[in-house]
Parts: sequence; structure tokens; C-alpha cells
Amino acid sequence: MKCQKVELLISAHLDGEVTVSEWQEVEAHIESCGGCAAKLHAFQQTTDVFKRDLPEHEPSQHVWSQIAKRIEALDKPSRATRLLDWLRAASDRLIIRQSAPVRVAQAGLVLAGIIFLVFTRLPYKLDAPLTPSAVELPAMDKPAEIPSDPEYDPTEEKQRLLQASIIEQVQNYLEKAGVLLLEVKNSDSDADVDEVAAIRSSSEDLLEQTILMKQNLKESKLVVLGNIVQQLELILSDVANLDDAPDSDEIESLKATILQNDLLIKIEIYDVRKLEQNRDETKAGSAFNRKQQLQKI
Amino acid sequence: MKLVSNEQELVEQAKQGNLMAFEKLFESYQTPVYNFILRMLGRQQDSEDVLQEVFVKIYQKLGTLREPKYFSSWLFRIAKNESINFATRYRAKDTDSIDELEPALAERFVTDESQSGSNPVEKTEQSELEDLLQAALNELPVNIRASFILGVIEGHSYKEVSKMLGCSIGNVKSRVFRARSLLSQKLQPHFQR
Repeated sequence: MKCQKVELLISAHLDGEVTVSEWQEVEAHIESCGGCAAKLHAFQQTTDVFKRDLPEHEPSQHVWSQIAKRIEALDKPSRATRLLDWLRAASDRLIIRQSAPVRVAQAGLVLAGIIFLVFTRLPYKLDAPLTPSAVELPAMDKPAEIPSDPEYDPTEEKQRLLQASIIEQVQNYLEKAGVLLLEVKNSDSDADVDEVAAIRSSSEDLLEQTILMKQNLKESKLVVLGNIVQQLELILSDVANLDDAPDSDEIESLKATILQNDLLIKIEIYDVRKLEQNRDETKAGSAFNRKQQLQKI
Repeated sequence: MKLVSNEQELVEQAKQGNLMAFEKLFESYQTPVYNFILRMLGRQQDSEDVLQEVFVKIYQKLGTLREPKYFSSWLFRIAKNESINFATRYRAKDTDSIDELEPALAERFVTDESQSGSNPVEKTEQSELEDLLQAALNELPVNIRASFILGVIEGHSYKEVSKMLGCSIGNVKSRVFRARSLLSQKLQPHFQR
């Protein structure tokens, strides 16, 4: 049994979710594998500390009274609803007592009144069609060129270069992830062992890079990319932990998750360099413009 | 979490608009749901607000619940979604993910009255440990975090967790495994002290 599968079973065993025969196989493996024995110890320690040292808290006493008040407000009809109900009831009383011609005359009067109000109180003139000049658009910042001002902060330039380097790394990572996701998406529900092993291996490689990738993105404040990588991590983890012969539900569930998160679209349509480059250039340009404006004051 | 028969009756009564029955349901579930939200958000004060939102929403939508036996899993699913919605609205400037919220290390949890008898030095160590564990939880991706909280801390079976989170049992298994891997890596230096 491979170590990765053993580790997964160790984790499940700590939650009482393995069969006796599965655990016997794991125990046999652990006897000759120091790495997995250490993993068992580490997982056990982690589980114990969370169960033992994370106390249970009670919500405060007033929570229910707040909920009850809000429920009461939901159940009480609003003032507008009560007014409408009253008008409806009054209208019903009037209509029932009167003859048909009178009712028609009343309806005609109401309609005339509405038409009068509409034409005398409109805020705009109907005979003046909207022209483009009638609508003022806010001034747009032009994308800024990199200024040659000697007072321009060189550390910003350094930051941009660092970001560019990280973006390139992430782009390579995303390309590989995109290929992997496509393989999963196009795989059959009853994929063979070799196919599963191949995608699992690719996923494990990518997972190893994910931690560092997330760290770099966080430090560089590349938020959009960071978000995509986090979503990817979840899928990669699920793929990496597929059984040798996964059941069709697992494969279908993975496919559904990929589609749900639009990950393939995000990887393809998000032209990452352009996205981050535009943001940085706009930021740099806006900062430079603000500086110039301040100097004029 | 097995639904006892009187709980099914309470759900049925609450569906008919019986507020007392709904209050009894609240009393049964307030602590586990509150703790789930608390561990998801890592912020005590906000967790009470989200707890309120969850139960108001449950009350409003109770008529759509087809089977009383699904009440528990439905409740936790709404709690998870409300926690994520809250965190998304609350998110700090320049972040785009629930996982980048301010960690709970900066905040001390207020311990309840039952713990006030312990000596001050132990109490501080206990709070620090709780903060450390919560900070480690905060770093987990949201679905992995939810699976770990429900499956390990709260002790639900993988099958129950899969219903609560709307995913397969295999997903729950792999997410809990991933959570353990990340948490044990994170906490190893502290265990070695």
C-alpha cells in the first residue's frame, strides 16, 4: 500500500471511518515505514489538541430575545401592507354597492387622473430625446505611462518587477493546472488505474508548489491570483487523494466542482499578466497624477 | 446527529408557526451551531450576529423543508453559507477571500463564568493556546476548514458532514486529511517545545 493512501486512511481512522481490514493493512505498513508511523503520531497529536484544548463557548443569553424580536417583526404586516389591505377593503365595499355604469365611470375618472398626473409631473420633457451630450460621463483615468520623474519612488519599481516574476511563475503553474483540470473534466466515470495514477501524480506535484505560491501571492498582494490558487488547492487535494479505482460518484463530484467554480474559464479568460499589469500601471499612474496635483496646490 | 422523534415533532410544529417549538429547537442547537460559526469566523462577537441571521433565516424558510429529519444538516449548511457571506461582506481591504481575514491572534476570547475559578496564569496560557489553534484554523481554505470543524472538532460522521456541506463522503475524507496535514505542519514547532 502506498504511503499517501496509508496517510489518508490514518486520518480517516482517527475519525472512526475505516474498516477493520483497511486498518490491519495500515498497521502492517506502519511496522516497516517510519514516515507513516511519524504521520500517525503527528495526526493523533493534532487531533487531540483540537479536541482537548479548543473549548466550547456558549452564546450570550440575549441572542434568543433578539431573534424573537426579528421574527415578530417579520410576522407583523408592514404599514404599507396594512394600508393596501384597507384600501382594497374600502374599494370592495364601494364597488359592490354600485351599478356597472357607475363603476365604469369611476374607472374612467381614475384613469384620467393618472394620465393627468403623469403628463404634468414628469421630471423630464418627452419631446427632448436624450442625446449623448445630455449624459455626463465621469472622467476616466487614462492608463498611465511609467513616469520619468526623478522623484519617482524606485521601491515601487522593484515591487512591480517582483510581481512580474511571481506572475510568470503562477502563469506556468496555472497552465499545468489547466491541463490537469481538463484531463479530469474529460475523463470517464470509470477511469482506469493508470489514468487515475497519472492525474494523481500531477496533482501531487502541483500541490507541493501551492503553499509557496500562496505565500508569494499574499506577500505581493496579488489578490485575484491568490483567490484562483486557493480554489485550485481544494480540487488538487481531492484529485491527489483519489483511490486507485475511484467510484463514478467521486469523479462526477470532481467534475461538478470544477464547473461550479468556473476554474477552467478563470484560467483561460483571465489573462493574468494583462490583468495585474493594468492594475499596477493604473495605480502607478494615479499615484503620479495625485503627486502632481498636490504639487500644484 | 440522530434526530429524536420529539425533535421531528418540534420541527413540524415550528413549520406551522409555533414559536415555542422553534425556541426549543434553538435551545438544542444554539451551542453546536454557535461554535461552528465561531471556529469558521474566529471572531466571537460576529459569531453571535451570524447565529441570529442563521436562525431568522431558518424560521423564514422552514416551510420549504420537506423532511424534518433533514433539519440538522440543513441548519449547518445554512450556518456555513451565512458564515461565508458574513466574512465576504466583512473582508479587510485588499483581500478577496475569507481565508485572509485578520487572524484571531489579535483577539482574546472571553471565557465564560465557569472557567473564572482557574488561576490567572493557567487562564492566560489556555487563551493563548486557543488563539494559536484558531489562527491555525483560519489559514485553512474554507471548505477544508468546515469539514475539519464538523468532522473532527464537532465529531460528526463523514456521512453527516457530506450532507451538511453538500459534497461526497470521499470529498469530506480528503478534506479532513488535508486539514490534518496542514494543521500538523503548522503546529509541529509548538508541539516540540
